[in-house]
Amino acid sequence: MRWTSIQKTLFPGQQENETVYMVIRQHWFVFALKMVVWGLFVAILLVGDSMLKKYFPQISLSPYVQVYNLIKGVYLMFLMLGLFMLWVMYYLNIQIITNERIVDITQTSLISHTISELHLNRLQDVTAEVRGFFETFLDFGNVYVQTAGETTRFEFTKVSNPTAIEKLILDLYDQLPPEEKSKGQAGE
Amino acid sequence: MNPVYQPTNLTNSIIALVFYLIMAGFAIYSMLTMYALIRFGKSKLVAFGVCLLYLIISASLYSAAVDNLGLIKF
Repeated sequence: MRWTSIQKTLFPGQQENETVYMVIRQHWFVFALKMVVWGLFVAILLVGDSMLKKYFPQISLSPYVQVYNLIKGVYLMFLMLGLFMLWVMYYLNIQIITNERIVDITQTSLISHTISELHLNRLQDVTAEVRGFFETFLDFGNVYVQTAGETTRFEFTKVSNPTAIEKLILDLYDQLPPEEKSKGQAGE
Repeated sequence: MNPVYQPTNLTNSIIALVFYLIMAGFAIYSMLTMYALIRFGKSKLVAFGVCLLYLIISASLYSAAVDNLGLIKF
């Protein structure tokens, strides 16, 4: 199977002759679920607005209406902030597969950024897992990469098309020169 | 340009204080999020574009909130 490479620098430490084959984020459904939760907060605002005006009509009178509008405005600002943070956290968590290594860039919080690398020559086993109703019909799941090092498993969680990712990793490992593979398995 | 809100009694002062404290927290989180996006995002163009859009929306909402604050008279 032929894989198309991506010709640009995507992460710090990327070598000049290193070819990026895939940039992976979590499946859009994961982000959509978080958006549903965000949507519930929007619904609270809309439903609360109509209920308050219906059952507490005095809220339309001064000075209560200004206080109420102020609270609504602040609530809206925090809704926008929440949406922004949700999108940024989704956007910044990526995994990159190159011809030499797998890079996992994790943003666990706004001020916590972790980059983990696994050289392909240290690969021992790759497993793709699709488990669940939505996972099966939308084709997303987990990919587990077993290494020959201290880290037990490298995990890609809730990624699109996990079987294609598994195949890519194994194909790239097969393309490594034999001396590279033996160097990795020997723990060098 | 709207004049700076000047509370006339204790109630208005407390409301203004609470409002600006909340806005300070909002600003801190907003700046942290924008910094993380610009620093760690793959595409600077996308990062700056999204930040600009967010700033425009936030500034509009903030302006509306400050107008409402100025209209509160207890």
